[in-house]
Amino acid sequence: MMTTTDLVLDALRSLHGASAWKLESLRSLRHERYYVGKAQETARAVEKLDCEATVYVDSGEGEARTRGECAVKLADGASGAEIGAALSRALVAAAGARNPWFPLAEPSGAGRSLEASGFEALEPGAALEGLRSALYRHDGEGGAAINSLELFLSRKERRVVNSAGVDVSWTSWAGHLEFVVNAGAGHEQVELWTERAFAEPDAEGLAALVRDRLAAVRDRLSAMPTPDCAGLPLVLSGELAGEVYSYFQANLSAQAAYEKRAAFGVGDDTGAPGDGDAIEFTALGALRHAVGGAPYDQDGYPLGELRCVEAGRVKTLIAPLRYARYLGMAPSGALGLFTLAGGRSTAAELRAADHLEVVDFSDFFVNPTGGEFGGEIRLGFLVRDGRRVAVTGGSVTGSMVANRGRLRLSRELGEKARSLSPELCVLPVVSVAAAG
Amino acid sequence: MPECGSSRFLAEREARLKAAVDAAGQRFDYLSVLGTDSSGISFAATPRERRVADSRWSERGFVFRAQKDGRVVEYAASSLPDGDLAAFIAGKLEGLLASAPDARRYAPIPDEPAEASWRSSYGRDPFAEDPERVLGILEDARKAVAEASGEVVFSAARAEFMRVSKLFISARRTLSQSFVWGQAYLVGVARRGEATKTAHQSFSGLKGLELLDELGAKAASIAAEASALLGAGAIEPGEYEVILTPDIAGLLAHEAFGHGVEMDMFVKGRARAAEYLGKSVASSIVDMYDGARGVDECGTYLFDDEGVLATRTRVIDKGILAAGLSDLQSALALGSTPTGNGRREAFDHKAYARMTNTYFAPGEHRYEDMVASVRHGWLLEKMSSGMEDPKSWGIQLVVSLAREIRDGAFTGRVAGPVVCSGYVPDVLGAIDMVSSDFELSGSGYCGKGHKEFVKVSAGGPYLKTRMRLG
Repeated sequence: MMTTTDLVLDALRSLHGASAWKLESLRSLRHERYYVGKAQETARAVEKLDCEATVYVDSGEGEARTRGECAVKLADGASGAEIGAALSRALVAAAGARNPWFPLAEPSGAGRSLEASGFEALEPGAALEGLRSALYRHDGEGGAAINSLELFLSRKERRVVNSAGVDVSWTSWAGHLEFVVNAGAGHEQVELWTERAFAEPDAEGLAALVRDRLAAVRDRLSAMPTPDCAGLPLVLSGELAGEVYSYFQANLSAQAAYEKRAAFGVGDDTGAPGDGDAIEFTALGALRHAVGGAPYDQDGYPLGELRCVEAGRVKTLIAPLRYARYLGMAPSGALGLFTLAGGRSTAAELRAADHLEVVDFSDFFVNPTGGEFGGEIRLGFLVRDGRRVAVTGGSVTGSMVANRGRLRLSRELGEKARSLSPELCVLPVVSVAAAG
Repeated sequence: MPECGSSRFLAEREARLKAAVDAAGQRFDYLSVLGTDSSGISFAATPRERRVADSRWSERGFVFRAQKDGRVVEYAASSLPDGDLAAFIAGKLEGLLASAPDARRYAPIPDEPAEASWRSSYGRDPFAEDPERVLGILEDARKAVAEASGEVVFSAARAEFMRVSKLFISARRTLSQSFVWGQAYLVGVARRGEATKTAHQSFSGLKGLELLDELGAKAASIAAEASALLGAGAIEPGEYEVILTPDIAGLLAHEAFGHGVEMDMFVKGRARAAEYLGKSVASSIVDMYDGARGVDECGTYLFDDEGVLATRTRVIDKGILAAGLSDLQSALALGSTPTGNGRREAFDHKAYARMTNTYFAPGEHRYEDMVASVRHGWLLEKMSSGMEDPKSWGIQLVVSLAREIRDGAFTGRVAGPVVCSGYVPDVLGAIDMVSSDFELSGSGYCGKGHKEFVKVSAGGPYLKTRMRLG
């Protein structure tokens, strides 16, 4: 019996009027567990196929050549008639788009295979039980406890096929967990929320994450309202630092450059004229710990690594096929992960001076276009005159533009959702609103 | 006005699903299925590109829910197998029950008889229109933003239309609904030196192509706003008198109380609101509602994703916290009545207690009088993001544009972005003026934490209160 993917491929191969086409499919098997306290609330399982066909229609010649496109979603189990109707609709829409022409990916042996996840050798139910057990290992320590936990584990089979002859596929695992820890009782009770994506069955790492969050929520319980912190630099670590570094990733995008939204272009100095650490940024297709890793991008273009910023100066941009063509540069594929080199000081050295370190915001934001960042403080530590005090409330605002060239990075690196990057950063130019 | 067509796909499978639920239901205390068949189209015009694609909200699939000896499990799939569907589904659900022997035992899921159907109406059909013509409308709107200011370096117009169809079947209930919603955005990015600022305007409703008629009138104000933001400074941190536009009032309603009264939070002991039912939480001139019934916006429907008919909940009644918003499982756990707020991001996601259309009721004041009453404060004008803290009742609102008011008049000074924070009862308790205006906005989406995104709307009148700004 033909699968939906096979049916769509057959329809694309016999489609009249298309200059080119592409098919992306994703088959997911997902297991979910939900807990309130230690008790399981419910269990769920999901089996799902997502299938998207893109049809391209060219017109004109030479410099005036254009390419329009339309991507349509084909439901799992769609009939031949439904597939035909969707592709006909896509042809009409693509013919009306007429963008500057760009090529499709060509077959290449350059794609790196993903290292098989440790989950591949485990039965999903047993893997989830192992993770659950690790996550609850430190539950209750010091009077802090897990309030609730959601645990997801997905096996994903992806395939990209196009009319130029690309036919690539790969398998990956995506784990996701979300938990709330609390401490105290009655009106004095406080909580902290945490989420984490993971690609490996790293039970010890997840147990340590919960242990650290239990300690943090105990700190929040005893935190004082954030006082006036005028003049103090802001220290961020872990995923919050990762969000700051993502500003560079967003502005090293060829699409942002093409649309004239990027903060810097090829040849620009990301650090001038400050005395911060020089940016050394390398874009990557895969990192063993990161869920978003892939050997190919959505075009089926092979992903490797690309040194984008050296000694603070932008050498090149992350350029999927389309925007590489538009900007006249070599394509890199849509590299979604990155490494950022460490700075010249250790984390301990950077933490030695007076500062405000925020470890938990209500919702930390970094605007990739304007560079503004900020959030309400749920938990921070004020280090002043040799004393370290937990604080809560108030807010921080700042701008990556104002901190350009002044960002300090720790020598030590740590794993983040989308990067391997300095564990800690220091932003010297910020405004802190004290808690009321 | 034309009516939204119903799903032929779901209609063709209704009898088979009903038979499977009846047959497999013999092996459980309760069995239901929700089928979805929702398709949509999105359009985008940027300076040198135009794109058409199916909407990310498009979905088709089924989720089966079973209860046995109190335990509740779910199996979701994007297609149904040939052959004995009842045996297949029963096997999957029994496997899940076997994997959860110690799962929580809930009271029996109620299954009162009900048969109902709803199809929305809209103006012009976005799915029948020539895509090139839609792109042309967006391109004209985008160009109008770009041409309105020499400082605009990038502009974009986007639109998205969804036709949502759902079918719910249990032993005693058969419910179906089909409706259309639309949303659009107009964006301008301005640059001066190293400063880059973005302004935007969103549009939404249970509307078809007629939604795009609203874009052109906003182009000049978006360009002006982006240019104004280039000169925006930071606010001196502190507590101020603030006037919230309906957009920001909606954000306050959504973040301050909406999330805090989602009753799955009560089950987990995460919501301070649980202790305040029947008690004062706001000024006596404040009424707040949530409901998929009663208003027409992107959070409107006939029944939720657990087969519970939609209601309208008066959350705050003259300053008193009156009721929460409940999904089915939370209501079973709490012994309360579900309010039709059990919603899923898609068929393959779990149902949670979620908001629908959340808003403050209008009052009696005039906006002009509210501005005139401010000694030194800010008009908070454009939503950027928000986050709740239901346990501590803290709130974070981020607005992209604030305008200074001194002695009852605007000074011309603007600031942005501004982080607004406070203790929820303090912020709501300080509301001393509520305008007679009423606007809802349903663009974007709402997440539970940082996932489980669903369409909602929020809004209300202008509100005057006090908040900490930074």
